[in-house]
Amino acid sequence: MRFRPHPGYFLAGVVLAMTVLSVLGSRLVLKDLAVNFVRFSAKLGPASDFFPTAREIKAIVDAGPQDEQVVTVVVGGSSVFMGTSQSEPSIWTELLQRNLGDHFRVINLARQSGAPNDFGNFAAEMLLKENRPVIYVADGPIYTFTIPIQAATYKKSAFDAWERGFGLDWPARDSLMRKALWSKLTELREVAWGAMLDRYLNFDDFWNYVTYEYGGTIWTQYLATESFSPFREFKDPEMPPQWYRDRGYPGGETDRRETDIVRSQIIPPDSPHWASVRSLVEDQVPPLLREHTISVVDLNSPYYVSRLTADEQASFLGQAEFMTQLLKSCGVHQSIVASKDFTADDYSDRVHLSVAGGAKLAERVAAEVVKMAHEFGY
Amino acid sequence: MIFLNYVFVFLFVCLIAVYRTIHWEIWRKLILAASGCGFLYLYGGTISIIVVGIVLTTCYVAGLTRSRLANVAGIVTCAGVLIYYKYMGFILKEVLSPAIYSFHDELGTISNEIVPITIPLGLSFFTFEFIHYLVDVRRGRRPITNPIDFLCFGLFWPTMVAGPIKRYEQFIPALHHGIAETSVSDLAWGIGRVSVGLAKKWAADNFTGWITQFEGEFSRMDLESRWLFLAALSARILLDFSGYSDIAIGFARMFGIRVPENFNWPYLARSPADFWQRWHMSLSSWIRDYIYIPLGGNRLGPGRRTVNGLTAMLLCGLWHGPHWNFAIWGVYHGIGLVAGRLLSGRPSASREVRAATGNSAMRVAGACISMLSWAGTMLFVCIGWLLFFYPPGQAVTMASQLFVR
Repeated sequence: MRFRPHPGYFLAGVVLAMTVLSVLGSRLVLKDLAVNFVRFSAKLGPASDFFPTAREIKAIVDAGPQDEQVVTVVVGGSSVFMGTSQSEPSIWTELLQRNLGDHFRVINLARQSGAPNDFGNFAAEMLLKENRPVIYVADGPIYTFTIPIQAATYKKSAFDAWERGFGLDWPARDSLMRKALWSKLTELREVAWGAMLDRYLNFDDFWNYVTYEYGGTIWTQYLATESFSPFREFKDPEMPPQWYRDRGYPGGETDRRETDIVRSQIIPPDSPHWASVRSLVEDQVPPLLREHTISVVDLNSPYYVSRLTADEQASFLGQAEFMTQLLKSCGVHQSIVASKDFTADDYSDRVHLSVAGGAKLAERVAAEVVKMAHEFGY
Repeated sequence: MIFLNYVFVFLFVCLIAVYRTIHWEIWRKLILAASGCGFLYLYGGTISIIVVGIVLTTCYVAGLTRSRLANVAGIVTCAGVLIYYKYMGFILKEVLSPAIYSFHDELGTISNEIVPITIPLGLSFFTFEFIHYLVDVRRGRRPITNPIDFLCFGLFWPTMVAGPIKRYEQFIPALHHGIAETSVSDLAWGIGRVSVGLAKKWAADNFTGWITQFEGEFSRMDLESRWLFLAALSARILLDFSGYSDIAIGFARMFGIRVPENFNWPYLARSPADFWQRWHMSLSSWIRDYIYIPLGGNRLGPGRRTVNGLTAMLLCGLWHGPHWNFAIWGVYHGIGLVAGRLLSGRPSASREVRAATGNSAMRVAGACISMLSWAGTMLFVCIGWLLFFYPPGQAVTMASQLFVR
């Protein structure tokens, strides 16, 4: 006789399976990610469709010493601060840690194509909510600091953190995040709904765990044959410093193209663009976080900047200073142009710093961090 | 994918909960029709609502009148909408422009000015369904008189995106049966079928990633890898398309409504004709009933039969998209059907020989022939997918590279 279970059992099985996955997701926080964490490998990002959840970021934050006296320095922002073109043990944040000493703990949560308001900021906000000593250091280019949430590469992580209440209360941002549920932009709407549901279902936590520990489930062009490998096996794909030194600046057509990019960043001071930069900072970054933030305005390699006309060079460097003033007027505690006197050798390409440049950056940021820690009485 | 996003899942769960809670049949029909409108608006925008509304009203009224003229007008409207939205650019730029070269620039300008940018959602499916309706009514079948039934037929969202192409004689009884007798069993079966479809889509998407990565390296691959690439390409389209059909059939069943199957293990086919009885069955039967047979089918001699078959398959190919590669893919299959018929003679010949002789050697020979037929058909079908996915020149080059190191 053929076995035909009652359809009710099947439906109950579906509900039970979903519930089990959800409960597993709520229990299985990917703590391995936090073990000996240095930075997020470029392989754990949008190209591999791996977005760390807010609880995984919290696990990284909580993995360090729980000493109330230790000041956590959360580094957020772009690939410049992530340390692209610097490999271990010469990543600038490791040098920053060495410069700062044991009283500070540096966590590098900057990401490729990241922004100060889509990832690392939530780690800083978690700590601020717990009244723990924290300084947030983030970078941005000379024409903006924060970016609209719909354009953020890590909006999935940002929405997850916001939904789970890891962010500081800030009505302006809360309103933007809530409105995203009804946005006409399909991608943004999907992310917002996903985060809202995942707050209860924990599916992302579950699948991140499976992917990291046991193997990926989707083929990605970036990972290619490694797509189905456990992501914990991935080594940081960064090339050694010598590789960048040997490569040098490409010259020819690339030089012209890159110089054009540098030129395109120059925006007149009377442009309405600056009002939107200001409102983006004020809407996206809670005032308490701004008070604990050191922003670093990234310049471009002198190799390219020197190819601009004298007037353009003056405008470019003047705009960087203008940006720092604008950010300070928005309530950002400190804003600096750390790379003013950097040479072409301090860069490995137009924007990223070489190991030598990273060392200089670490020195300057360390000085600002110590100064700020004194001001806060940390 | 339309069926795999949070908004859709949320709305669907609400919809199915309301649908299954309410037991009045009229309300269930209204819910189905309203959800179809919502689906069209959400994923197709206002233009889809307007176009479907016009075509649906025209066809409903034309069907009710049972007038030959009105039916023809309705069919022309459907075909006109399909041609205007889907094929106008192709006709102007790809067909007329090279043919009348002296008007090349003018045709380009006209094309830019009149060809619509957005195509209504499910255009190819709903126009075929309405044409079938009007042709059948013209042939003497009873039209759908109840406007809500007609709305349910025209706006049934599970089949709107990727079929199957419904027939109203089957759909209306299935609708009445479904709304009267929804069962837990239907819900369970539907969820199971949707899950199978999603699993197929997941596999297809993985193949897509792999294919996208390696298609540029096809000529540099070794021979084995090229054949592996072809196998992946063939698996991808089957999994993708049949996955969509599974999802559509599953969603329909959750409402208690059974819609026709669209795939029946097509890669087990042992001839091109057998393949088309297993692949996208709702389309192939539509092409047979509303193009091939009206053209004369196989009633007017072998020559005309061949021409009819090639024409039907050309249109079948073009239905997939307004590009030359689809047209050539259709003709390629048309030639395959003709060649298959010539090669096989009577389709049941080998079976009859086996039955008559009862000889084990003959049985083995029959099995070998059967295997060879299958292998030949698969070779034919899989190489055909190159024409489906790539521009004709590139497809021919890739096909030739399958046989040389």
